[in-house]
Amino acid sequence: MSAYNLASLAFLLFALAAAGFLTCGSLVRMLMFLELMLNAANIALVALNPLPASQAYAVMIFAIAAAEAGVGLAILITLSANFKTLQAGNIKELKG
Amino acid sequence: MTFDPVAYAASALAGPLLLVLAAFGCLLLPLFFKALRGTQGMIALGAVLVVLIFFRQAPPAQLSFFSGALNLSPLSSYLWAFAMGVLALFFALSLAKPPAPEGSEGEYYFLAFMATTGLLVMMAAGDLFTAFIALELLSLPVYALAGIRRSKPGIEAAYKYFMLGAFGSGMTVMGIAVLNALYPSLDFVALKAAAPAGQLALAGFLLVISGFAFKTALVPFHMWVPDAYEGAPTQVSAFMGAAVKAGGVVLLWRVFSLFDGGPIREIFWWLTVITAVFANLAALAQNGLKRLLAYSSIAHAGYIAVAFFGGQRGWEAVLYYLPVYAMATIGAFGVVLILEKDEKGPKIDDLAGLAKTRPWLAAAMAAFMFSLAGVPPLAGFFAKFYAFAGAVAGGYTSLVVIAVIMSAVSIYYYLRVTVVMYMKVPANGGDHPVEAPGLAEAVVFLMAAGVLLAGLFSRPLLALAAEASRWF
Repeated sequence: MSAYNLASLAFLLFALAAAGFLTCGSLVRMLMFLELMLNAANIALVALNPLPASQAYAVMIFAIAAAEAGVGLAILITLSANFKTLQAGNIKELKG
Repeated sequence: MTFDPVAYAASALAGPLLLVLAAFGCLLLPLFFKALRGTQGMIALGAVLVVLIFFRQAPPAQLSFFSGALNLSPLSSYLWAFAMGVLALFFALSLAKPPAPEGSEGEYYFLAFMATTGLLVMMAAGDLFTAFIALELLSLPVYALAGIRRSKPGIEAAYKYFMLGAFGSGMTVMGIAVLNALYPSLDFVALKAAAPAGQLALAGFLLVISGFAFKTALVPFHMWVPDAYEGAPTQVSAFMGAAVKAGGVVLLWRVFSLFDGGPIREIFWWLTVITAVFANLAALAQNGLKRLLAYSSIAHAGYIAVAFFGGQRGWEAVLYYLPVYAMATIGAFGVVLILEKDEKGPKIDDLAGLAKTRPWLAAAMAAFMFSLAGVPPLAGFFAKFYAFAGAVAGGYTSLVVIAVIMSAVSIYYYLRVTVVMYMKVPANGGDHPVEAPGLAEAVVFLMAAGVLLAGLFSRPLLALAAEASRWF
């Protein structure tokens, strides 16, 4: 499998994740799609450039993805405690 | 005395390091020492004032550290001093009316310190990847800060901000992955020097720019702004408007300046126009004061983007614009903080009769509104003037014409606030809180003096901005 096959896989995954993020209404799924987007970008990062620097970048992006998941899950837990739902359409305390 | 770069670097880099230290101090010390509980705010404000000492002296030239990841220059000193000033004002507002629930003060100040550390690193970042990491360090704590109250409006603001912010980050990472494959290095200097690449590079830059535009809140990447500003604690809204936006502006400007022409400039042109037009029109329909300020912040991101087209003079204008806008915004949110009775803040009509009940507060609010609208002799007028003059000199007259027209539209909604304060008879006798925390009033009046003085005597600040802009 060449690097370009891997890169196409990454682009495809990224596009699917972005489309899923924009179309699904469940916040938990949106969070999962966000993680998928970051991971797709990570695959592209290491597949397209074999230099060690890009692998170091990928490791740092793991850390960022983990931190993002942590903050995101904390927000979702508080959200569900407040609103008793995690459907984006049902959370309309603020105008707009 | 000769200049010693190593000693300078030690003292300058001690600034961000001290912020991290103070962050953990605020978080952990009160756990071990009961006497310190509830005093985190004082510790935090003290730490900020200590850190400000480290920026007294700007380096005479650009100094690169960590193989170019961090560049210290008079520019970064200027931006760092600005960021620390905003943080100090944010802490003063937080001390005046604690937004964090009892027992979470430690987290509140921890998050604010970490966000500012990210902001400082981002402002001095020498390559795209460092800038992105710093941007995440800035954003993640602010998502949590927006929801620190764990109440309905706050947590809804936090989730909207988080989802769209994280989506923007995802796009930025993908863009970085593409650019990393096409360019030998992600260093801003190397990116500029490299030969312009084809379609794929364009796609990479577009992804990166979209991600950054989410943070700066350019239309059409602004959807989170009104809700986030409305639901977040007012102090945090002020921080988002002044500091987070400034960080986004610096990042966008770094990417923008890689291009002397071509499709990226055109795309920026359109982003700027759409932002200026849409934000001002949407602001006309707002009734909540916090939402109005949110749309106003989007509009000002548009005006700042106009200045990007002015080349060297444009950078100068941006550097003058950022503190002037920050003063007016922090001041206006300070007034909101004094008047607010619930988390969503007062409606514009709730300000009726303020000129009778609290004449000085009304005068200060009027000063902020006129400065944001760009009425001379307040600082906002000169900020807009310099921003637009640079773009005209650069040959982007049509862009400036649109921005000036939309700026005229904006006078309507800024003036509406003033008219309500001075001329409208309050329905309920104007029950404005008579007692306000002294610290919040001090911040408001300091900012009012700031927008007045920075307008009447714009030379000193402008000279500082001009000096800093030469190091870009």
